[in-house]
Amino acid sequence: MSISDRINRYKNNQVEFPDILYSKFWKRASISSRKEALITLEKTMAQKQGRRNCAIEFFDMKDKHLGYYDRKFKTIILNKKLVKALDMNMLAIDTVIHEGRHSYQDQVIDGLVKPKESDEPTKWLYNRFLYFEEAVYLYYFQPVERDARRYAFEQTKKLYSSLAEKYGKDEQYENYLADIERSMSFMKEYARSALGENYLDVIDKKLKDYFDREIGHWPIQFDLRIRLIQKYGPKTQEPIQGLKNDDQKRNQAAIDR
Amino acid sequence: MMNREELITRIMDDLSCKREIAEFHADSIEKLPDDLKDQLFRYLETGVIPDISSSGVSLHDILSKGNISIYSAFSYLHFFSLKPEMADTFLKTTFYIK
Repeated sequence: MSISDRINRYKNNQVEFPDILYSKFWKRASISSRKEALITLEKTMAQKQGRRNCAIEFFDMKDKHLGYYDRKFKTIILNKKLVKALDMNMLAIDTVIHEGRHSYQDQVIDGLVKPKESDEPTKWLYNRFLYFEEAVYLYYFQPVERDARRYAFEQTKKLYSSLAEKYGKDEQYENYLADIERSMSFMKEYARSALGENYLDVIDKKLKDYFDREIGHWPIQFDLRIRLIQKYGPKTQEPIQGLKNDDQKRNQAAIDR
Repeated sequence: MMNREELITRIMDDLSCKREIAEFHADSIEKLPDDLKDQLFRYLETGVIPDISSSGVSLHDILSKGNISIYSAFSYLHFFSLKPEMADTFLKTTFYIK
């Protein structure tokens, strides 16, 4: 049996990935089996996205903090309660996919992974330099978060659908779905009330203005943009605003090369 | 009452945030009705959280959700006065951070 086969085999009740993520099996599984399943999920998602996978570490965190992606150490940090609780499997799946998506965004920005047509690498790049942690509608709808949220929701749904076909409806998924729908509709309403109908444009513009004013002329960030343009063509990136003359020349020279 | 610039500086200090984020908060504070604005500025002077509520949700209810600054909490109160039906949803929903 290969190493990956061993990883995919779970001793207790012989349920393999991804079936172990289904609530009935998750409840029976040991904490270490649950951790292993989430690590396998991250590896699977990384392969699907054509990116390097992240290590996953588990820590005690504040109650409402489910996890985060540590860009410096290329690691996903998860709240231990996601694997300790019997009924948080859907949130655990969503969180792993969500944080893994941040790793994908990171690798796209750094020119390690080719972005898809629907991706917004320029907005992700702007967001790297101005990230909203508070003022909750800004946090929810900033480009990297709205993309990770959408992606995680879609992939969790897909994964659940294949499990539901095999084993039937899962109450935990229904709860997860209801929570997501309720929180999203609340946040949309809140953002509209605070920023107007075009709240996404308002947030994106703020990030772009900040980048152009504070960061756009810095050589290191300039090089980042150039690397993306060189690798994937000028259409990948919007024209660089606010560059000094010398930078503009370097920009053109790099594209010409 | 503080002027906009003083308010932005205070928010930057309180939240240890960049100016752009403080400006967002300042914008939303400027949109508050006068009574809420007065309560917020009084809090900034005294540090005492006022016992106020909107559509059945108190400032304390909002702050107890966690990871919410006093500036956002006032903005929530204003939102609930405009959209009372959202207050109940807010109380029932857990807003996870990830």
